[in-house]
Amino acid sequence: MKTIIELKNLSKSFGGLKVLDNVSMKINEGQSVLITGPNGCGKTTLLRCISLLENFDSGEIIICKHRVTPDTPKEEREKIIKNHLIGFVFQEPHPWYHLKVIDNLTKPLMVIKRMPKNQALKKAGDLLDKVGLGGKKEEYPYFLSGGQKRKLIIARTLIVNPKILLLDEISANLDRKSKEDIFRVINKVSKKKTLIIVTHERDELKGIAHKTVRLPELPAPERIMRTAIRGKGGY
Amino acid sequence: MAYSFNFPLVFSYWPLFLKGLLMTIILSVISFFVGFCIALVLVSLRKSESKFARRFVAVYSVTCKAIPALVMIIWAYYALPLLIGVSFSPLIASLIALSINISPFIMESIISGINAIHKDQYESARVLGFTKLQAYRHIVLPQVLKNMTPDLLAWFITLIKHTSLVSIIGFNELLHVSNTIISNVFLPFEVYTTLAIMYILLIVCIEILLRKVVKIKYKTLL
Ligand SMILES: Nc1ncnc2c1ncn2[C@@H]1O[C@H](COP(=O)(O)OP(=O)(O)O)[C@@H](O)[C@H]1O
Ligand SMILES: [Mg+2]
Repeated sequence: MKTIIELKNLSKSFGGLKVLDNVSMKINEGQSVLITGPNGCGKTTLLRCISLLENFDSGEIIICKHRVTPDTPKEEREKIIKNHLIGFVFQEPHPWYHLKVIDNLTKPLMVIKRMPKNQALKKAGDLLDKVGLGGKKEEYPYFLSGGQKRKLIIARTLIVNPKILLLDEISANLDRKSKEDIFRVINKVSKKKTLIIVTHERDELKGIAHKTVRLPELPAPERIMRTAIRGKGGY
Repeated sequence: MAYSFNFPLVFSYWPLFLKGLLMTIILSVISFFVGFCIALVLVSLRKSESKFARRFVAVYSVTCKAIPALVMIIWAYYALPLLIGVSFSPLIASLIALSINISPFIMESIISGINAIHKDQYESARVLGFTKLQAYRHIVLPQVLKNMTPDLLAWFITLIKHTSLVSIIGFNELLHVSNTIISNVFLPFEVYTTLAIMYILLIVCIEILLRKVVKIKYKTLL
């Protein structure tokens, strides 16, 4: 089996706080991996590093033969991102509020892939039908429910057809029915994709997971400090 | 002896008033547009990785906020030509001074607008493969501009009022035209009252117009 993504001794700190401490894992193509662990243990940070949104302090990430270290220059990271290997569904569903549901999907196609408008509309429409948002195409995301927003974000991530899908607590804050709905959608659209799923719903996902990685809890005294550091980021 | 009003005589100068009004509007619109473009450049410098660029913006911003618009206008008209050896028409000098003068304020508005937008909006675009510029152009700025419309309107109105300052270098806007009329008819009360009313009408019209445009454009949003 082909390894599609490999982390070697990945470490990352914020200020004096070590959030990821020598994390290593190997994921094969088409596998689904669950990542669990208590709140604040660094799950989101791990996904942000893998998606190259965030740099790390030491170690390396190998994504489809592309090797990334903390010293990999920006331009090269951008190039890897442009290959659409990785799709990342964030923890909080934030659609682009100024665009209609359908345009949330056509925008990336037209801007990044330079696809003609009618072709993009067709492709976006098909995907929205597939995730069950077919009737909401012309609406603005503001009026969607929490579950529908998640589906929209999932569709937006999938529209560029990434090989690896990172899902960050996508079922949090949803009622049971919406949760099942979301997982059904994921099952339907993620055929042959590699999935890295951060979740607390281990039982519900047992069916699709090949392995589970549990991140250790961070040492207690530092938890307080962390809250203080947060928020100085911005963009 | 009581002052006897003679508004009809003043009104007979309406073509001149109209010309002044037109000049005021032209100068305001162009200066605002240029100022806005400068502000966008400043924002991109301020958001860039280069420490030097960010310092430059800080210094520029403090300097331009500190110098009164009137001083800047006079400086651009009388002093700048000595420095660079090219003299400007009153229009160009006014345009330079007014747009530079307003630019740091518009920049601050844009920056706080950007900061008010959740960073997921930007990052989700970046992970999908948008470049930094594309993410700002297609995702961040459209939302910022919508939130900023009241702010921008306020700065535009401020700028319109600042244009009256350029009468001092002889640009033919409303105030300058009024002074010209007074030197012909010597009716300061009538002329200046007419002038004030024209400003009120102008700004009320702009406010109504822009609010309408914005409402149409974003009808479907909140
Ligand atoms: N940009 C940041 N600056 C400072 N600290 C951060 C930042 N991002 C995350 N952290 C800290 O790192 C810890 C791990 O965060 P996160 O990865 O979001 O945890 P999880 O997703 O497992 O709940 C958090 O406790 C948080 O305080
Ligand atoms: Mg998290």
